[in-house]
Amino acid sequence: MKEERQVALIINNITKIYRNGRGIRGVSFQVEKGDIYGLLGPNGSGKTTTMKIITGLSRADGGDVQIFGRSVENEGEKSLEHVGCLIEAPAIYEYLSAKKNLENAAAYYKDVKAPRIEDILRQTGLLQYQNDKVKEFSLGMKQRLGLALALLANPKLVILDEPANGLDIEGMVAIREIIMNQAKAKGITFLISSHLAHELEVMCNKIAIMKDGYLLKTSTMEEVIQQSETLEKYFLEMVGSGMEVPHGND
Amino acid sequence: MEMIKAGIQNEIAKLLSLKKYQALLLLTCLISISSGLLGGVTKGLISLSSTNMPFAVLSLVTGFMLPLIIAMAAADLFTAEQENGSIKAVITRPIGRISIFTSKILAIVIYTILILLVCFIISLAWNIVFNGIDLNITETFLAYAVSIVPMLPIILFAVTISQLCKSSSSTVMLTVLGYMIIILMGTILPRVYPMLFTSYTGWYKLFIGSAMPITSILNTLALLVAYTLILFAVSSWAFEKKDY
Repeated sequence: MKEERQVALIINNITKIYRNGRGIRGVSFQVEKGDIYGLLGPNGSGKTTTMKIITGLSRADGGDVQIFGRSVENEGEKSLEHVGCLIEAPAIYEYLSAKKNLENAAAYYKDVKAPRIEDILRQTGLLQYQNDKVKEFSLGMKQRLGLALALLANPKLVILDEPANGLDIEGMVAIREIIMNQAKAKGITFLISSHLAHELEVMCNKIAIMKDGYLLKTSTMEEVIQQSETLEKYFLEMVGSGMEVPHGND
Repeated sequence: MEMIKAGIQNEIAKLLSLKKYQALLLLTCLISISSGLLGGVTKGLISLSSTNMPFAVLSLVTGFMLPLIIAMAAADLFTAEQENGSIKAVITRPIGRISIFTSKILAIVIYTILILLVCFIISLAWNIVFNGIDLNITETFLAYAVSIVPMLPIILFAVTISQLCKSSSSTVMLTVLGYMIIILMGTILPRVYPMLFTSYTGWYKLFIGSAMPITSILNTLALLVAYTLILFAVSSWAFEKKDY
């Protein structure tokens, strides 16, 4: 008998159209607890818009998002209680130290105290730089601090938008290792967007493909590998032939 | 309430860690001291006599300095954070947008009170050191304390402008410009003057002297509170609806 898995995130038919006509249309998928779920698509496909709506940064024109059964639209702050995120560039105050940035974020949680801040600084390799101003950090360090901020409050769901964006190979590997370790050690559910197929292939167990604001397909990584050997080939097959963007329903 | 308290602490810490706001506190000290020096040199010729120095400083600060400082603080806590994306650090936390908005405004209010307090202490100390205690300290303190009230609609005015602008420099420019236009309007149209919130930066004068005009105080208070509430409603609605 198949084991019932708890759903962490439900995206139900969300639509958001910007003034220039771009945006997302009728996007639906769900992420189960323990998944490392990848959102793959080229730049401008609607990945960031989807993530902004999930985290309450943007309001959808239609549809509904539920995080652990709570509607983001109706129960805004409560729905974000167990969520950590890194959307676009890390949201950090460059004129503050790494530690102060984490302390500011910790102030919004009852049970996040100094030992947890030290712990997360250690896990992300920033402990020795904790008192340095963030404006002196390299891009990789800023990205790791962004990840530290996302993981700070022991979230059950972490949403990462292009976490390896602009990083060199070492930086990408470091970020990947932190994500994999957290998922393995704490069973955290991840939703990660990227336009780099290889990055998602090595980390994710499920994948959703987006293009031009539409979600084309969701699959398990096993299905992807069985069908096309690599995620990159799978993506190109899907986008390049046959799987057309479903116009006309907006 | 806990969230608003945490928010205020964070916003104040952010403001005070910016060198600009540390420098402004220092500048306030210098202005208070130089007003005393100027008063001594000119022997009161430019209404900075030894006895009215705390009030002369208060008039200068509430009429000119504070509106500018408020415009800068609103630009930094609202528009600049939206511009560089750092506002996402708070929006994605389990705190309601109205609590974030309120804590940012209260941080500006507290910084404004800090500036007034610095001016009060320095101008009073100057007065005591160089002239002895020849002014009513309670009355002077009351004048400084009530001066926060006319600053509230100015704070909300700056915050409303910050919700319309996409860059912090345009927030400062438009707030200052708008403030000057409203003052000018009051000068050109005397009938409109009593209805403008910019006309009451010197309302502390109502509290000086033996007979306090209670009716005038209540009327002015009602007008300032009304402006504050209307501007709060408009700007909080804009903040609540915004996409980041």
